[in-house]
Amino acid sequence: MRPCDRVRMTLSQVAPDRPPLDGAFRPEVWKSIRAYLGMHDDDQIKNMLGFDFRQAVIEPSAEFASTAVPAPVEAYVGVGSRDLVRILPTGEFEDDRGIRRVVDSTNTYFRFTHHPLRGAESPDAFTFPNPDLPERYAHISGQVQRFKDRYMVQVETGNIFRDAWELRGFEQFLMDTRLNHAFTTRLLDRITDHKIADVSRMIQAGADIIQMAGDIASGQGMLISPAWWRAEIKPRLARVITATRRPGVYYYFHSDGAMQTVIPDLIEIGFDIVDPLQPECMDVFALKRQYGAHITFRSTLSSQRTLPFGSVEDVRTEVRARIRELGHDGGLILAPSNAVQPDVPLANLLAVYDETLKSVGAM
Amino acid sequence: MPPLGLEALFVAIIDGDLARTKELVQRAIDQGTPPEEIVSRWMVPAMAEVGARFERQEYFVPEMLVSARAMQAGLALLKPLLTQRKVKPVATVVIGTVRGDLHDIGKNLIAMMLEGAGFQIVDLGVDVPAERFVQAVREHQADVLGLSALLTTTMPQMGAVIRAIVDAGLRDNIKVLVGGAPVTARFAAEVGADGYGESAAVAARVARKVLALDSAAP
Repeated sequence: MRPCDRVRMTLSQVAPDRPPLDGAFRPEVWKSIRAYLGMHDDDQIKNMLGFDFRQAVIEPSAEFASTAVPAPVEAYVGVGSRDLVRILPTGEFEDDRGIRRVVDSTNTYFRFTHHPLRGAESPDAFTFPNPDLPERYAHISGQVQRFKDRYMVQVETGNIFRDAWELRGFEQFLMDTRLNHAFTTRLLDRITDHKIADVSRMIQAGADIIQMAGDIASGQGMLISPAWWRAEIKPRLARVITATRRPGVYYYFHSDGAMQTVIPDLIEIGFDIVDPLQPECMDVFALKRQYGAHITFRSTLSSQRTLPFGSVEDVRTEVRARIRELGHDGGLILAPSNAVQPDVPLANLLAVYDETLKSVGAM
Repeated sequence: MPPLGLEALFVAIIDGDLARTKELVQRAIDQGTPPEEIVSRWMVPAMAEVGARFERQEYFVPEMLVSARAMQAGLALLKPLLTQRKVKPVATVVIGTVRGDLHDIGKNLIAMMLEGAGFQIVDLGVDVPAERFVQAVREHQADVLGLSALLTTTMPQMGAVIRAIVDAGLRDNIKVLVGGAPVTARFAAEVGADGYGESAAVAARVARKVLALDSAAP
């Protein structure tokens, strides 16, 4: 079975031979996998692990790229964008939106130091990257040419909420939602218009899955009120999907945390996949019974407990339970939730893939 | 419910109305209300109510931020008077996110809620090495040390900080609280902390408990 057919069956809530597999690993984890397997071609490693997806990224403009360097540590520089930055004399790194970050003391993660709309009177002070530049979608076209008709090619972008706080600053934007309605709605409208232009072109370039990512919840519940999200974010996400959807294109929503309250809303506006459904803060089996006929669950594996702290057998048991309870009628993509951190024992990580590959025919 | 008098101030903080909070605090000062009474009878209960609403998921992070901002503006007017009258804070808390971890949303909310409950906060920020915690605890004669981590990979740093506090001979005089998404009560016990709070809403309650501040209450 071709990986892309496996995914399409799953997304139509029909069980294929096994759940599709995917994953994102921290660079340190990639290093240990390569060393352990004695393989250097990540694409071959993905094949061996059973990945059914390939990732593509959005490129900055050629003009920006000509003065930029790869980010000193691999990390998300803008959701789904290539890690290219300009290094400022202050030691900060600036991406093509003017967002600045510094690296932490262990040289592993970024911290925000500047947001382009911080302190701005109007959201119009920000100029979005030009969606008419063909180089922006060149990597997508390349991945499509290389992988289309075998794998699903997916591209990540912000889920509007995230775009807004990245441009404005997290606390400032959250306060804006309470104190500055005109600013908030104007900013969200501008982001939505740009998102429609951007996503349309990603799809024209051949992307199969549009991943819209950004955390709207913590382990305890929503960061923002569900009522506010429904009033301000949901209709705008709906606008993006309605304006851009083509046959065979799927929409994916990512948020960490206890965000289950908005799952029916995501289904209503046309999302096909929800990720990662952290089992530490929600009952994924109950959610499957409630919503499983209408949306595909991605991950559902425990990245805070089982993967880093459990035994290999704990991981295998968790994977088998997911396949049995969540994947029996399709609607399940297995992947460790979030980017796998270096504290996850390699044997545990590999067990996710091995156990899923072993399940062929058992579904 | 708070006693009769400054209900409007109580409401202004809950509503996150900064201008009104400042106006009402200033009026209370001008009318001669003792500053410690303005804080403890009206402002602290208002932030406690904000915390309770957050816990019940009626309030979310934006509501908490605007209330904390109003509270801080009110406190800024009162602080010189409190210092002048030698009013001591409930306790001093040194707080920060441990080394290698840059996540600060949870830590900032905890700091706001503790400040709102009358604690003095020394916020060391994120990616804080053990020795800076030790230094700050000593310098500020802190009563509570709050450690935050979001990553499973940085949680062990909490143990390293606690060991550094022990090695510096400061452990007997301080209560250590830990928190963050992957942190559990069991982890807190294993790592040798005195307490654990699972959300910002309970932070003040947990801090008061480990300091035994309420045990003498009738």
